[in-house]
Amino acid sequence: MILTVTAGKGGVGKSTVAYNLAAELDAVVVDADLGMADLPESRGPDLHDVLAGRAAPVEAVREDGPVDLLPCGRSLAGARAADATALVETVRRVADQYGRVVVDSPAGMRSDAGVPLLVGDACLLVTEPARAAVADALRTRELARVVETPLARVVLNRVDPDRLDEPARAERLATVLGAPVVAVPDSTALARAQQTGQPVRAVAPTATATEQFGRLGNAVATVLGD
Amino acid sequence: MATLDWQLSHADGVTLVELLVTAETTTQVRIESTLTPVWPPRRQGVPAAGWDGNSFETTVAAGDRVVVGYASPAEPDRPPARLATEPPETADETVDPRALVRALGEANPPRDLVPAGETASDPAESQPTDDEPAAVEGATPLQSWFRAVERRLADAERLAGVESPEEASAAVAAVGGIEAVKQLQAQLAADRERLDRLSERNRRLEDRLRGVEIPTAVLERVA
Repeated sequence: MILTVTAGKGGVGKSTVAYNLAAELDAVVVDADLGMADLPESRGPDLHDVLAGRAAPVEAVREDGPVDLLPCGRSLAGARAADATALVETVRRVADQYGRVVVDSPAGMRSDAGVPLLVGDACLLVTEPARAAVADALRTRELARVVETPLARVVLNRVDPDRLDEPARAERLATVLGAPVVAVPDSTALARAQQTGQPVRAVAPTATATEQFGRLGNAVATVLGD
Repeated sequence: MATLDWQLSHADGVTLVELLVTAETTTQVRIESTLTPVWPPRRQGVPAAGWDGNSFETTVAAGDRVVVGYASPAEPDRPPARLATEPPETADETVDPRALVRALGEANPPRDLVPAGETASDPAESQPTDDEPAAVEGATPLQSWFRAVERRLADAERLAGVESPEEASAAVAAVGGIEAVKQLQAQLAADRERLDRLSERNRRLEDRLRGVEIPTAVLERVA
């Protein structure tokens, strides 16, 4: 099962969603943001090495953190040398070995966002309540249609906790984007967890954010029949 | 039935191949290069549509002609390519990653943005070791100079520490003779001077660093 987490614009919390969802699904998270990686880095071969043919996909997966991770390199030279088309084969190899993979995709409309969408069995679109973020999400929704990757869920991230129970906005968004919406509240527990490289469930198991990621994980697993 | 005509040119170790394919009826053709490896034309960093390894597939309309160009580091060979006898595979309707990159555009950072000397390899691998201190790729001139000074100092300290005539002659021989020792002495004097200048600059920068504070709050209000 390969799930691609994408967004129309950067800074909406895509990497946080990918990391926490991977924790819920016991999946490997592949940090495919080749130019601007966000997830924790560590020493050893990374995705840049794999995409340049210097390392095998499976040997670059780190199992020593709270969530299995295929990290991305940080150097511009590495990003330049990486062959974006090799991502498809890389992610499939990791999925063959580990079963479940969550791909943290870059935002935008270039091929670095298109190829991760192409490899996904389904995708998740992360957006924020702001109007600009929703407009960009629509464009990415179109890109997913072109590469024929179904949209499993829309994640409305950083929702004001007091407005989490207002369904009108979520319903409007679901109609526009064509998939059910799961809202994740703006949460200090979540921010704190991300800073320390932990999934929010490990830090605050009873937080609303944790509950919502649990719901999201179940929904995705059901959609993908896995 | 398609026919193939070709022209070759060779310059600076690269062979340029120009193929002209014509057909009387509309035909799907596959051309295989006998020169390998093939450097196909690229769009957005990926081979142009139709190229797959050493072969190129296209459709030639009746009475029309298709021109195909590519390069190869191989020596010119005649013929440089031939028409494959088996028909090309039927076009795959699904989106493939190469087509996607061609359509959406390459997202790799441009070459100019990559700092000079930075290589894609693990930086830890390029750390200097005692065995090969010289000419480390990616080291700044200052880093290289510091390493050279350290080497010269080690030689000088060995020379200064001799306690017997035997040790002295061995140490002089290790440096490369008495002329080399004199050169070393002159070089060390130059090193000392340069180091003094660096210390002076260091001190000035320190003072300036201590004295400067950016009024971020004010600038935020103004900008």
